[in-house]
Amino acid sequence: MTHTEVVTFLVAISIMLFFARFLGEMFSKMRQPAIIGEIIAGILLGPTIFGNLLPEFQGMLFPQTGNVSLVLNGIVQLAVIMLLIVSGLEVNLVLIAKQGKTAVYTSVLGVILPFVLGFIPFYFFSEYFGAQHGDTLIFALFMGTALSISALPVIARTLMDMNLLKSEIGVIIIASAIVNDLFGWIFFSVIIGMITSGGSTNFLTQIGGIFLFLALLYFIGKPLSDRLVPRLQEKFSYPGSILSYIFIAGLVAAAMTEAAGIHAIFGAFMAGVVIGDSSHLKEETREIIHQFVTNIFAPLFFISIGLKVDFFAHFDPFLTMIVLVLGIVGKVAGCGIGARLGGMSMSESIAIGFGMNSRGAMEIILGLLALQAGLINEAVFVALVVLALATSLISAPIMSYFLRKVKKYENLAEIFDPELVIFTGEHGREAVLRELVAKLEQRVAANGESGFSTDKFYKTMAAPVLIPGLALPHAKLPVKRPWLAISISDGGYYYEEESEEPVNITVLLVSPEDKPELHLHLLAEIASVFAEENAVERIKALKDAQLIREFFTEKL
Amino acid sequence: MDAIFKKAGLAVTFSPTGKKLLSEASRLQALFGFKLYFLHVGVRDSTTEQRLHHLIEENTFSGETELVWLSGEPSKVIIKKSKEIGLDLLIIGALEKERGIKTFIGSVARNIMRHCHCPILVLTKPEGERFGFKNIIVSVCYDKKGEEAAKVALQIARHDHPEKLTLIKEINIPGLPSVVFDSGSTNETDSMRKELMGIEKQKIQFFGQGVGMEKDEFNSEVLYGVEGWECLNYAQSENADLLVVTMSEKRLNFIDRIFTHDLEFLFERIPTNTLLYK
Repeated sequence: MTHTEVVTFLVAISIMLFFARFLGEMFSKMRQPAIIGEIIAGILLGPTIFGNLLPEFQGMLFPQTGNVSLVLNGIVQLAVIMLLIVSGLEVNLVLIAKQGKTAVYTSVLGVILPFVLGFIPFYFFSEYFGAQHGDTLIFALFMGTALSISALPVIARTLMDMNLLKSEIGVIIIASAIVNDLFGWIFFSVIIGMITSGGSTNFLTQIGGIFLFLALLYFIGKPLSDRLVPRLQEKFSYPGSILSYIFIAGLVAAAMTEAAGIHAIFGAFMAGVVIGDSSHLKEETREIIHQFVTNIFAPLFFISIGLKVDFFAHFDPFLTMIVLVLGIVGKVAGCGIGARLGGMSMSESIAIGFGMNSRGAMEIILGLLALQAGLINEAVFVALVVLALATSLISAPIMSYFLRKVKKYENLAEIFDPELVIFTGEHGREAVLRELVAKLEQRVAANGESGFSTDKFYKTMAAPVLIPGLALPHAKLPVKRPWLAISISDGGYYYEEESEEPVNITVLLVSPEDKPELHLHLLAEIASVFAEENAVERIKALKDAQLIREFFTEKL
Repeated sequence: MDAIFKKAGLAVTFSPTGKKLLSEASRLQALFGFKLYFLHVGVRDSTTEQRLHHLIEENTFSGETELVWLSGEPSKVIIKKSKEIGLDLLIIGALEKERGIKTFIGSVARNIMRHCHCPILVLTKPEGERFGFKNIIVSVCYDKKGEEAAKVALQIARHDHPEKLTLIKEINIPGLPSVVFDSGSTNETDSMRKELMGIEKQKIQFFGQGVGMEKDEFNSEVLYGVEGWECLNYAQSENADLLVVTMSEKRLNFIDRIFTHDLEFLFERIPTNTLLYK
C-alpha cells in the first residue's frame, strides 16, 4: 500500500466506524435494533446517497477496486467470521433438549414452512428472480434457507425489554431461535459448498465432509477445549487469553472448513458452539466477546453492506414484496402452528411466530455471502436486506401486542386486583383475617372457581411476618390462578400476642398448589415491594386501591 | 416427624470403604429408624458368608436388618432387588472421581444413580466412625420432591448439628449475553442478573421456611451459571460433606449424556457424599 492508500484506508475505516456507531446508538436510544442504524449509515455513505451526490469524492474515499478496497474487504470478511463465532457461542444445545416438544415443534415447523415457501416459487421461476449461477436447485435451496433463518440478538433484546427473557414463552422462543440458527448455517454451508465444488453432484461428499468435521470437533475439539477454557481463564491474563483463544480457535476452524470445501463461516460457527458449550466459560467472558465484536466488527460489517450495493438502483418492489410476504407468512405461520401444536394458546402462538420472525444480522450475512459467491444478484440481496430490517422492526411491537392479551398470572402486576384491597376498620387479627378471607372467597367464587374456601385456607395457612408492620399469610390451594388480597388498617393490630410492633398491612396470597415455584416467586416479589424504605407507611398513606396497585407494580 | 425412610438398602462389599459404609449405615439407621437390608453381590459359599457376617457384626444396629444375596451384574441386580423390596433409600459407596471412558460406559455407582427408583446416598468419604455431617449443602428444587429432599436434609441437620446448612439454587437466563450484541453495553444485563438473583434469594428464604427451617438455621446462596455444574463446584469449594440434590421424574437418556447437563455433571464427578433424592 502506498502512503496515500494507507491514509485513505485509515480515514475510511474511521468514518465508517463513526457513522455506523453514531446511527446505531441513535436507534438504540429509540429502542430499535442498532443494526438498522448501522445499515442506514452504509446506505447514506455508499453509492445510494453519497455516491449519487458526490460520486468522485465517494469513489476516492471508498474505492471499489485496488488495495484499499482489498484491505476493507479483508476486514469485512474477518468481521463475518467474528459474528459467526459469537453466534455459535450462544447455541445452547441443552436448552433445546430441555424445552421439549413446544420448542421442537416451533423450531422445526418454523424452519420447514418458510423453507418450502421460499423454495417452490424460486425453483419454478428462478430465471425471473435472477438466479445467477445457472443452477436453479442451488438458488432455490438458498432462498428457502434465507427465508427460514431467525436472528437471536434482536429476539433476545425484544424479550428482555418486555421482561420475558426468563419466562416460559421467552425460553421457548430463545431455544427455537437457536435451533433455527443451527439449521440455517448447516444448510447454508452445504449450499455454498455445492457452488464451490461445482454443482450439486458433490452433494454427498459435502454432507460427508460436514459430518466428519462435526465428529472431529466433538470427539477431539470439545474435550480439548473443555480442558483449555478453565486453565486460560484462571491461570493466564483475564480476559485477554480466553478472548485470544476463542478467536484463534474460531479462525483455525474457519480455515479448516474453507480448505475442505465447506464455507469458512461453518467452521467459525461450530467452533463457537463447542466453546460456548463448555461449562467453564464464564458469562462475563461471553459478554466481553459480544462487546468486542458488537462495538467494532459488527458496525464495520453492517455499514459495508450499504457501501457495496446501490439500494435504489437495485430495489425491485415486486421482488421485495414477494420476499417479504413469503418470509413473513412462512415464518409466522410455521412457528405459530408449531407453538400451537406444542400446546401454546392462540395469542401466545402468534406472539411466538412474530418473535421468531425477526431476521436481523443473520439474514444479511447469508445474503452477502450468497452475493459474493455469485448465487444471487443485487436485487435479491436488497430484497433480503429489506426483509431483515422490516422484520426486525415489526417483530417487537406485534409480539408485545399479542402477549399483552395473554394473562398468565405469573407476576404481581398481573394478579393485583384493586377490588381486593380493603381499608379496614377492624382491629383484632382474627377479625381482619376473617374479613379479608371472606372478601377473597366471594371474589374467587364470582370468578367461577371453587378451589378456595375459608376452611381450606385456615387449614393450610403459613404466616411469616417479613418486616415490622406487615403480615403475609399465604397458602397453596387447588385454585386455578394465584390471588392476592390486601387489608390496610390505620390503627394496626398485633399478629401474635408477643408481637412488639402492630401490623398495618396484611397481604394474603393464595396460589395453585401445583405451582410451588410460582408461589415462592410471588412471595419474593411481595417481599421486594416491602424492602423499599418505609413501604408500610407509604402504602398506608395512599388511601386508594389504584395508587396502591401502582406502588406494588412499579417497584418491580 | 414421620419416618421418611422405612426400608433402606446398603450395598455391602469387601472393599476398604465397606467397613466405613456399614458404620455409617448403622448411624443413619439410628437416625431414621429404617429396616436395613444388606445387599451383597457375589457367590454364596461358606467362607464368603462367614466373612460377611463378621464384617456386619463389627457394628451394632439399632433396628431390624436382613442379608440379601444377589448374583449377576452388580448395578442391574441391585436396582432390580431395590425395587422388589420397595426400598426408599439405597446407600452405596463410590470413588470420588472415576476414571476411564466416562461418558458412555457408566460404572456401577453411576448406573445405580441414574436408574434406581429410590433415593440414593452415595458415600464418597465415609468416615468410619460415628461422625455427623458438618457442612450440608442442599441444591434446591422447588417441586414436591425438592421439598421432601429439603426436609430430609433438615432432619439430618437437626440430628447432626452441622456447622453450616446452606440452601443453594442455580439460575441462568438463556440468551442474555446476546442482548449485549444489540446494545453493546453490559449495564442492562448486569442489573437484570442482580435483580433476578435478589428475587431468587428471597425465594430460597421462603422455601426454607416453607419446609420448616428456622430463619437462622440455614444460609442461602444463588449461583449464576450452568445448572448442575455450579452446584458441584460450590460443594467442592465449600468443602461440603453432604450434598443433597433432587432428581426430577424425567428419565435420563442418551441425549442427556452427549450434551452433558444437570445431574450428568454430578454422575461424572461426584464431589462429596451425595444424597440423590428422587
